[in-house]
Amino acid sequence: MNTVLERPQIAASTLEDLGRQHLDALVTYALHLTGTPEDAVEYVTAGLFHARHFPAAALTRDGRAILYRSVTRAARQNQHYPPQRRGVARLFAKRPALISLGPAAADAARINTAKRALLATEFSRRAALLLRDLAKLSYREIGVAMECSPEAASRLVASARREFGSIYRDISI
Amino acid sequence: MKCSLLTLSCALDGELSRERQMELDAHLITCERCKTGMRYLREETERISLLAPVRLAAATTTALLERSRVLVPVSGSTELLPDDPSRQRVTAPLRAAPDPFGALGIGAAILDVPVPAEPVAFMPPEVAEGSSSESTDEEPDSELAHGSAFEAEEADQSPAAALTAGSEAMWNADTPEEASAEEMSETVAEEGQRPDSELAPEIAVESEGTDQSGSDALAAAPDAMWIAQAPEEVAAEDKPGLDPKSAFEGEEANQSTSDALAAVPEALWLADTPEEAASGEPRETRAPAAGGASPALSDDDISGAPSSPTEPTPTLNEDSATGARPSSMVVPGWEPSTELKMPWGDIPAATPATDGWAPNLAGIPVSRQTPLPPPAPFPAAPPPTRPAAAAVPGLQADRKASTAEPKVWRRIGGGGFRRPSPSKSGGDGPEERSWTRTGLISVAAVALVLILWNFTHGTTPAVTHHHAGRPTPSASAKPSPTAKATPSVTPTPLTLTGTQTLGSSGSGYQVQGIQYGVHGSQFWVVFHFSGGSGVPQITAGFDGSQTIYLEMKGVAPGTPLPQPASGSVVTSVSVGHVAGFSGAVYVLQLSRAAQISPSELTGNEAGAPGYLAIIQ
Repeated sequence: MNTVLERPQIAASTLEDLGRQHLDALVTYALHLTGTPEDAVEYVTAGLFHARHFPAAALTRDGRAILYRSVTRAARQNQHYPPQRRGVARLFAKRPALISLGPAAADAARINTAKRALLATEFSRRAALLLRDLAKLSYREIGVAMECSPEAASRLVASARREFGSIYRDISI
Repeated sequence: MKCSLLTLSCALDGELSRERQMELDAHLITCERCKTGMRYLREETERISLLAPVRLAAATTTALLERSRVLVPVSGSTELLPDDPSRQRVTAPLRAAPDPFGALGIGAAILDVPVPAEPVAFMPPEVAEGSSSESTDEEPDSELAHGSAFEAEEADQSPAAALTAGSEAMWNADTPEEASAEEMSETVAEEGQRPDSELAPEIAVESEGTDQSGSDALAAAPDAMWIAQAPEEVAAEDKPGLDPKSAFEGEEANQSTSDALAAVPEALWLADTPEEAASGEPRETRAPAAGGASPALSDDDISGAPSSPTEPTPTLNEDSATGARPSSMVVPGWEPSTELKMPWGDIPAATPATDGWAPNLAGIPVSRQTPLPPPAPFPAAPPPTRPAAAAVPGLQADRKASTAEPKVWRRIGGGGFRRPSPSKSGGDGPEERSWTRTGLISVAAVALVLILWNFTHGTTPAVTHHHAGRPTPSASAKPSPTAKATPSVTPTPLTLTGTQTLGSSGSGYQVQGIQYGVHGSQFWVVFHFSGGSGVPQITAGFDGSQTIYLEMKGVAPGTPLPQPASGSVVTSVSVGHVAGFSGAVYVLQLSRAAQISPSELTGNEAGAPGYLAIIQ
């Protein structure tokens, strides 16, 4: 007989509070990470959904970093939410209507030189750069979000700045 | 002070220690290169920080939280919101889905039937109390898939992190090659020198996953390890029993063949009978799971030494050394029920058989462990001829019995169903593709396309006068009105009426001039020739009633072509080559219907040989 561990139950209020507190920043991060508001909404939704798997203690300790970690994972693996069905069934699946960000994301979705250079960088470096310079996460939190050590996070941020700078200078010239 | 991009970046972020920061400040006073680098880094940081933020409305925030199931309706909301169909469905009891195409297949998609939740064997009371919304989740399998996908990425993190980690050497290197080499060596050196206690638990998992293959890392990383944040949590969650479901989720996420093989429990390889293999009961030779862990995840799986079924040799040798354990050997290519029961010591050395696929089984006693299958509902196909099987007396009988098994429709990769056909190798291996049949079908399809194209686009080859037999002017046929318009270019077959032929075999002539004359009621057309010998054959005939064709064989047309005076019976004269005629062809257009009386002119009569056409 298979024994199944129960899903870690978290206090709904903890995640809800975290979500309400950081949702703007999460959407901003996802939007600049992916480039499109639609993808940002889906990845943020998927990230919040997967954040339910984390225990309440972890959410209490590293709640913001865990939220960014979940969103980064969803974006990296291109996870849509609700998940797309596979095979022929996807042709008949009813997908819920997209949640439109509306004019709130109009400015953020506008492409400029900096954003073009940002989208040209490698995904992990782009994420690290945004986590550091946009979300103002510490190296330890970036390590949690990027699933690496703080030392690796520092190297990732440094290399991301280097790549972003070179691409930006090439584009601006 | 070793200035590097990493140091500057850390200083910019305020992550340097106090001593290092003081050293760097002192260094920046004198080092222009680091000053420039610091300025660039500040600019790039400002560019990123100036990206426009998103301010969500409260309704959008609530909608996002609801979509992500962070906000779920509490029990009793159905009564409060009876008109909301989505909330009705959340609290509706689940029912089994008539899903003929597998879980979450087309049936469930069309019918929009929720898939029943996974049976949970252990659920604490507090979970059971609060699981009303969880157990009635709309898509529990999709949630499972998401979790597995998340877990599957554990093994992919370490290479990317290692590659993107070190860039300090890039800052100091002069060339890109040097930079990459220094970066790699420095990264490896730093990672190796760092004590394990300083590593984050995620890095520990990643380094373990690096040493193993990706699939092993997936199988070794349970759900509890993914969500744990500290080594103590990992250890604490590993002790009560590893989660076999999470291990299988990892295997589902990584769908390579080797992973599928690695997922085969050890019982399948050590079982004596298929029943034992199906039950998966632990055997006496099987090592018990360490610490009473789940049988689906052994210590080998965790430590990175996979119990790979592709290398069963050590186990077999160890057992054969004892010689006491009966073995179960399934002959490849035969039904699973055909087994050879013998001690390990009696198994001969594996020598290649004549057909190259089966060992030499001569003299090996054969016994059937399982009863014969039920009789076939329809005549079975004749068994293929197998030399190796013919050498063993018992195998023929087994083969006959096995062919009488009822045909089973099995599912193939694309989701369709195919009736199993006896493969050429006669085994149970993957069904071979009939390339001959495929080729014949392809050729037939191409031929059909060509035939259809010929019917639609192709035309019957035009039979012109040149190729299909030239009609002589003497042949009587109805005239073709198309030839008189452009006789020099129109290849329309032309038949003349009232033809009159003079001469026979003259050649080498050329028309030097044409003269016209009116003699009473007659209109003369005189062609003067030059050169040549003999009497050229000239045929005159009518195309219609007002067009006269003069075919002159052996006569080349002359360049001057005077036209008759206006008012004459001959309105125009043209020359050229007409399809179906050889030699020069003069076409005389008449103003009215007339008769022609040709005659040859000799040199004595006209001073030069020629041709006279009298039209009256």
